Amino acid sequence: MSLPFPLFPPSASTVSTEVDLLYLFITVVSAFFVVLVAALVAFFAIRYRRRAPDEVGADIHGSLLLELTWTFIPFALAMVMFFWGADLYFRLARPPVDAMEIFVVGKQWMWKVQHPTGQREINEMHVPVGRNVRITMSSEDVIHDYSIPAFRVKMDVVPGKLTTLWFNATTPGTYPLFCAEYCGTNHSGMIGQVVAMEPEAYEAWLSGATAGPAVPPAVAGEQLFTELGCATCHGGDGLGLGPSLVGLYGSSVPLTAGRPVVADDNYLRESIMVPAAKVVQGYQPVMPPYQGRVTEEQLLQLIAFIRSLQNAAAAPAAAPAPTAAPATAAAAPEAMSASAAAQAGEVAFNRLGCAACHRADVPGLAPPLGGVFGHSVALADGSSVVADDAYLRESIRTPAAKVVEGFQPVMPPLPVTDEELEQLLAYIKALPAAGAR
Amino acid sequence: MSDVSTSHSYLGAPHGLAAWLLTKDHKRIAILYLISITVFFVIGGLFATGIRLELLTPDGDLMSADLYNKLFTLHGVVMVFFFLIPSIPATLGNFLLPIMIGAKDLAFPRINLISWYIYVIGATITLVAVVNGGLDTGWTFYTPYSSISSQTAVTTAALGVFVTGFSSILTGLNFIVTVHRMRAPGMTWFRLPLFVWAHYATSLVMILGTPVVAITILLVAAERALHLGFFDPTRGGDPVLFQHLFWFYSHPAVYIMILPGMGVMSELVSAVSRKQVFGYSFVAFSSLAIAILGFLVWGHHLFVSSQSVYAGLVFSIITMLVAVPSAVKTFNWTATMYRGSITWESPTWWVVGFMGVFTIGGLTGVFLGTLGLDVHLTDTYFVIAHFHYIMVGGAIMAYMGGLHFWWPKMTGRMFMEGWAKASAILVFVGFNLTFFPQFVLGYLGMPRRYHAYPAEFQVLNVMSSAGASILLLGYALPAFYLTFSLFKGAKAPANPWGAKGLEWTVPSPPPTFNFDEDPVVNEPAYDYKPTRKVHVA
Repeated sequence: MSLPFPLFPPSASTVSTEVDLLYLFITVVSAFFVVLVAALVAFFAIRYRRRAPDEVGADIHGSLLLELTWTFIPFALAMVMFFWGADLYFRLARPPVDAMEIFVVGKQWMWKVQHPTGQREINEMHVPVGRNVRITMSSEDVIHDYSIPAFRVKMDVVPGKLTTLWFNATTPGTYPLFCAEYCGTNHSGMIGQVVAMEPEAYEAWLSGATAGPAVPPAVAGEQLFTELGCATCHGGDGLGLGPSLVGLYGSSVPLTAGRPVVADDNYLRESIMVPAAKVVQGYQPVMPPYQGRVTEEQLLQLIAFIRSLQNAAAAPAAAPAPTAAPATAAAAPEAMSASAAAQAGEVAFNRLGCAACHRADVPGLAPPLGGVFGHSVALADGSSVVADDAYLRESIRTPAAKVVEGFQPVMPPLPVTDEELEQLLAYIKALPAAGAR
Repeated sequence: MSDVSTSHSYLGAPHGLAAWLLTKDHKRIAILYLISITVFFVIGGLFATGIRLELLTPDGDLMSADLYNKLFTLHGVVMVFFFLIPSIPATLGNFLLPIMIGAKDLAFPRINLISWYIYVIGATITLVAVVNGGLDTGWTFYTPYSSISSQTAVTTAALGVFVTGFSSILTGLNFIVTVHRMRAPGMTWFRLPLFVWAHYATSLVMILGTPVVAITILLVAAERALHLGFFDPTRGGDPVLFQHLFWFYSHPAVYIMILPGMGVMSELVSAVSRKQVFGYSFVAFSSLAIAILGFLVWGHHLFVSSQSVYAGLVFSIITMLVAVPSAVKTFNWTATMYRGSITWESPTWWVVGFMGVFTIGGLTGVFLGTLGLDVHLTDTYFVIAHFHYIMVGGAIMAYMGGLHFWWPKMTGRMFMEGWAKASAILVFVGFNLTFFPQFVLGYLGMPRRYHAYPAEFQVLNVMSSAGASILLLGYALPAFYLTFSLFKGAKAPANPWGAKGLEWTVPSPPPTFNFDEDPVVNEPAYDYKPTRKVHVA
């Protein structure tokens, strides 16, 4: 006899057979007890049916031996299930280190997939069989869940953090992909398919998947790193305003408060989105939050880039160093012309990382400085001040004293020498006004 | 004592609507609750009908996705908060608990009435939300969907659930004080009927757990209205924190729903077998063990939520432990029937049905508590099937059994046995046909809360919908024959089943103050003795 429906989904990963075995084991144990109880109830109901209207049952109150028996046996069986299930769960929770990584971003109501070589897909995920694949996931809005029944894996995709799952597909084929956490109107439309392919077919698919050149996430992350000005502070030499990121991933990071943390994906994510949450020892909480300024996909790319800074010795050029040779500027002669002072000021400006926030082209975290000298500046407290020499000096040495309207007091006080201060002033005065703005 | 006129019964004078709406009699309040929860059972059932009709076909063709999402949300909210949680405690518990311990009423009769009004107010607020935008968050209100994304009347519905929670807290408080302070002389703790033990354990959960969900729901409302960042990560909140807070109440709430059902079962198994409950103290303490351990397992709902794997380990092992007292109860009920004198009257049919489905419900909970297996099963129809086996198969089957068993006591009328048996059979068959296929669907991977689904799942869904129509018939029948019995049913004697317990020593229906003479208890519960034949009236 064949049923009009299957009892098991396709079994297509290295763990799916074991999950099925565990399921069958618990099913057999359960069926035994269900049949036992049902048979006893039915047998007793017939065997001891009431034969006279005022008959009563035997005067039996209980049995300690029986109570202990039917406490201990279910307990022992439950412990077997617990240890088996826990062992499997721990294996499912820990992706092998050699796994290739695919990024997945969930949003209402689609899945965006990016391969390590840069190819992108939507609601479809091609994977090679016989290879450990780790999925690192992120959500743009509400909680979703990446569920692949044929692989017996599933993991919530939670906004505000990164989650992972991993599998090793065994059988080529096309399998359903579901969103398993209710996420609103089109929850049941947030489905797709996973295509497991032979490795050669996967490589062939990769090469034909994108029309233009595919940009790997780590490379895109490096571009972003530069565009966002991260490099200004997080220089490779560790002498910038922010800690060096080379060799950071996976290392233990001492914090200004609390115990050291291991720099994993979620630490990196938090430190980009909300940097003040965990401040590295020896540094000031001056980095602006990037929450809302980078998308979840960009975030994954930045993390991919930071991870790629692992092999520092092999690739020292990976992190672009800030403008070099600050020592020459410090050695400037006393009698310096205004333009020479401004040039030295520019070097200091870059070395100190001012440019990361005080950007000329777009409104950054801090006001643009072009043309500010001699003009009236509206302050956060409602008053205004003319940007003269005294104001500029004060704003460099104690920035919190007068905060410009519309900006946060995030700039650190800069311990510059008098000489450097005057050079910076000269540079700021020399900056051209930023067009009509 | 058997043939008592109804002149001083609680159903007699004073008559009139005001006399009922302002009553302080726990029995009348129980009837008020019975009527109100029946209304909500019908409403929740209509929502379920809509769900099963939509799922007949794979395409989302009968209704829009938004309407479907509202239906399953409201089905859950109405059934859980407005039917299941008050069902047995507020009706059978309210009616029977004082009588069973030999008291004239609950400790705080006015608070008892207030709790019914609070329930009605909370339920009305939620109904306002239903017609005024609906609710589409799922009954679980998961953030940040509920707090930043849903466009429905989340705040109003949350307020309704918040208010109703106080009804639950007050009922629990009332029961605990009553059991401590109002027991008749000689009614020691270990002479209490197991129904009372189960309600005592339930009450502990109600007063310890309900405030947590009330606060949690308020936080969601505050995040929606005031944009405070409790759960929204873009405002520094943690969406998973909500799940911890929600399940800290809502898992124990499962025990609020099933523990009273277990209490009913203990009474019914003993009465239909005319035999002492096997291992009385084990059954009594298993209720307390379930209530206490039930507070420590909430994290088993979060195994794939990004909760720490070590936390998962602890929650899994405690979940395994909580399965043991449930198994102990089941074995004790079975053993109670051994060498009993088992009647084949209608209450037995509900008992047998309960034993069958509750065992499956409990054991499938073990599947879900097993970490590595839960990863595949969670958020699928396997979970839906499991908790319906507990809540519908367990709690409602027990409620129906209890309602039939004590109906003659509550109304003074006998119903028609044949119809009652037919209803029990229809419910059993319909229930299993509805929900057993969902275990298979879940293992195949069909996620819950899907408006449309892949075509390969259709056969099992059609079976489920077919079963639901039988279930509907099974639930509709009692509405007719029980109502009919009120007018045409034979007058009920004081003890129609020949059962033990103080409630069977008073007339049917009981007098307003329950006992004409203050009872004195000088025997253990369920003291059926071969030497002392029961008196069947």
